[in-house]
Amino acid sequence: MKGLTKLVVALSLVAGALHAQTPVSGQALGAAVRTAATTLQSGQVTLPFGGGFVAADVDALSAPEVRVDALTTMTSGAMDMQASTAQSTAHLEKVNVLNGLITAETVIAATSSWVSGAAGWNAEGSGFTNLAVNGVPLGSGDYLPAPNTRVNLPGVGYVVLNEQIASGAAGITVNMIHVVLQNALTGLTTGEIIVASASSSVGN
Amino acid sequence: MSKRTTFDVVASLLAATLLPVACRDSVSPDRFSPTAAAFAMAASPIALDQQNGTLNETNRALLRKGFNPTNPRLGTAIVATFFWLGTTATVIDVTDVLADGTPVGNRYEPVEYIVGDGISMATFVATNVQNFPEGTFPDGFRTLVVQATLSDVVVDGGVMISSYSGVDPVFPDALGEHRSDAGSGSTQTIAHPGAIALNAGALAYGVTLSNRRVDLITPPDFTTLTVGPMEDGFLRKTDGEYTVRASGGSADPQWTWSFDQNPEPGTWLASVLALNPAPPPATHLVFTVQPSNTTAGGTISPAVQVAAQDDAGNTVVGFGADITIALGNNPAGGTLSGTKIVTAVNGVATFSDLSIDRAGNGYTLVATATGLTGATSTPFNIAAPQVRVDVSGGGRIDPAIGKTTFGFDVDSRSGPPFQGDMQVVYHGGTSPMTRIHSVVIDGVTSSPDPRGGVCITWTGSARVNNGDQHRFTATACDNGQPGSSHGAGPDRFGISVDGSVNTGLTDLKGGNTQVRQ
Repeated sequence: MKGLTKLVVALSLVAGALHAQTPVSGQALGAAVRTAATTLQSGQVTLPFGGGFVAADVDALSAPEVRVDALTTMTSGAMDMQASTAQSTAHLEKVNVLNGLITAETVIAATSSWVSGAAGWNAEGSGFTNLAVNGVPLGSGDYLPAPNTRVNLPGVGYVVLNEQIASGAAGITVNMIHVVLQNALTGLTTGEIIVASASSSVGN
Repeated sequence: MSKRTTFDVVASLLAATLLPVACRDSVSPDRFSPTAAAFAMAASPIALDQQNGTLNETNRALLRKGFNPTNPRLGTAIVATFFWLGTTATVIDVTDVLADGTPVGNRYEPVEYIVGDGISMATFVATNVQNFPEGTFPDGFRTLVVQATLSDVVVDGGVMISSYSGVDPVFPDALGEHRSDAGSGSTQTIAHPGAIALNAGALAYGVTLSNRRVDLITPPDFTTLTVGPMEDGFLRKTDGEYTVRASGGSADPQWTWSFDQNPEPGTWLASVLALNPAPPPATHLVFTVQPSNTTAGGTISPAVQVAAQDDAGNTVVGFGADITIALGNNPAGGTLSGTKIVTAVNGVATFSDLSIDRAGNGYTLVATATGLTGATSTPFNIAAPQVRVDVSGGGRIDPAIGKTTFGFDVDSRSGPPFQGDMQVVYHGGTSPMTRIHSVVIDGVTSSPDPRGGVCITWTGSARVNNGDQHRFTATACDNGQPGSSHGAGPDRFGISVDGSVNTGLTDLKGGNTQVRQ
C-alpha cells in the first residue's frame, strides 16, 4: 500500500507539472481569400507563446470577393498550475461575399479551449445576424446553423457555414463562412474564401 | 527710599519633605501655558470664597485657624500663610482637621517660605479641598481648621487662611509663578516680592509681614483680605491681598511700610503666588484627525483622533474619560474593527487601528462620550483591496447595447499603472461598430463572486473608436470553472465608459475568463 501511495503521489505531481506547462494557442482572422487572382488575409492575430492578449481592427475591407464594413479580431489565453485557457473571437459588421451571394449584418466567430483537470472546447457565442445565402434569408435575426452546414452555390461551388474543425481534446477552429470555389465544368477547387475565423487550443 | 535685604532660604526650617520651597523667584515657566492662556478675555472663574486669620498665637508649636463661621466650599483652593517669631522653628507639616479633631486629610503643598530679622513666614496651598462639611457652623465643632505643626514652640505666631473657588483642581497645574523677598528700612519702605506673570484668569495672592507696627499702604491694584492687616504686640503687623486678572498679564504687589514712624528700623517679608483657573469643562467632541481613505481591511492612517473640547473650541487637557467610535454612515454594510473605545489622554483619544472590511464611498465615523455632544467625521471612502492577480479572457456577451465581443489580459502585479490590454467591440441594430481600447489601466480590485469564484475590476482610460480618452471600469467574474460552464452560472463581463456605455455585468454567451492569483 505504501508503495502504491508513493506511485499515486508521483503521478499526481507529474500531472500537476503537465498542467503548469500546458501551452495555449489561439488565432483569429477577419477574412482570407485565396484565388488565382487574389490572395489576402485581413485582421489576423496570433496568441503569443505563454498567453496574453492580441487584437486587431480593420475599419474596412474591400476586395473583389469580400467586403466588410468593419472587423475586430481578438485572441487571449493564460496558463497556470490550475488551468490553461485560450479563447478567440472574430467580429465582423456588414459582410458581403461574392457580390451579395452571401450577406450578413453581423458575423461572430468565437471559440474557447481549456484544460483544467479535464480538457474541452466549444464555439459558444458564434453566430450570424440576418444571414442570407443565394439571396435567401437563413433563419431570422440571430441565427446559428448547425455545425458544418453545407449550402450549394450554383455555378460557384459551395459554402460551409459554422464550420467546426476539432483538433485534439482541447482544440477547435470555427470558420463561420467557408466558401469553396469550384470550376463549374470540372468541379475542381479553384480557390476558397474564409470569413470570420477563430481558433483556440490548449495542449495541442 | 527702600532698602532690601535678601535672605536665603533656611532650608532647615522646613521638614525635609517641604524643602523645595525657595524664598527667591521660583518661577515655573510651564505654568504659563498656552492652554491656560486660552482663557484670555473670558471672565475668570476664580473668586474669593472664605477667609480668616489670627495673630497672638503665643507659646505654642501648633499654629491653627478655622474658617469659622463658614467653611469653604468643597473643591476650592485654600491658601494658608503662617507667621511666627524666630527663625529656628521649622514647619513639620500642614494639615486640616475639623474643630472637633476629626482629620480631614487635604494635602497642603509648600509654596513660599522666607525668614528675616527674627520673623518667619510660610505659605502653603491645597487645591480641590474635600472631605469636610460645607456650610455655616456657629457652634464651631465642624469648622474646618488649617494648622501648621512647628518643630519648636514659638513665642508668637499667626495664620491667615483664604479659600478661592474656580482654581484648577490639580495642584501642579494650578500653581503659577511665585516668589518672595525681604528687606528692611528706617523710612517709608516698599515691600516688594517681585512681579510674577499671570495666566489669563489667574489669581495673584500676596502677603507681607513686618516686625514693626507702623502704618501700611496696601497695593493699589489688589483687594485687601478683610482679615488683615492684623496686628499684635510681637509680630506687629501682617497683610494679605489678592487680585484676579481676567486677561492675565503680571502682578506686582508693593506695600509701603512707614518705618519712619518707629525709632528702630523695620524688617519686612513679602510673598506672592499665582493660582491658575480651572479649565472650562469639555462640552463636545471634535475629530481633530479625520479618517482618511483607505482600502478594505487596511488600517485607517493616520490614526483618527477625537478631542474633547470646551465651548470655545479649546481641547480640555484634563479630560480623561472614554471616547467611543462607531460607524455612522455605512454605505456598504461594512464592519468597523479595531480598538473602538479609547481613554482620552490630555483630552484626546487616538484610534490607531481602525479598519473597515467592505469597500464603499461615503462612510462616516461617529464619536461619543458620556455627557458630551458627539461628533461625526467627514465622509471618507474605503476602496476594495489591491489584488495581485493576472486576469485574462475573451468571448461574447449580449447586453442591451448590442452584440459585444471582448478580450483582455491584466496583470495587477505590475503596477500601477498595470500591464495589460483590453478591447471591447459592440454594435446593435443599425448602429455602427463601436470599439473601446484601453490605454492605461491604473486600478485593479477584487471581490468575491457569489458564483464561487472571484470578480476582478480594473479601471483606467480608454479610447472609443480611436477618439478621445475616457475613464472606464471593467469587471470580469471567473466562476472558477473552465469555459463558459453554467455550473453555478457562467462567467461574466461588463464595462462602463464615463457612464455613456454600460453593458452591466453580463453572463458570457461564449468564451471564458480566468483569474490567476
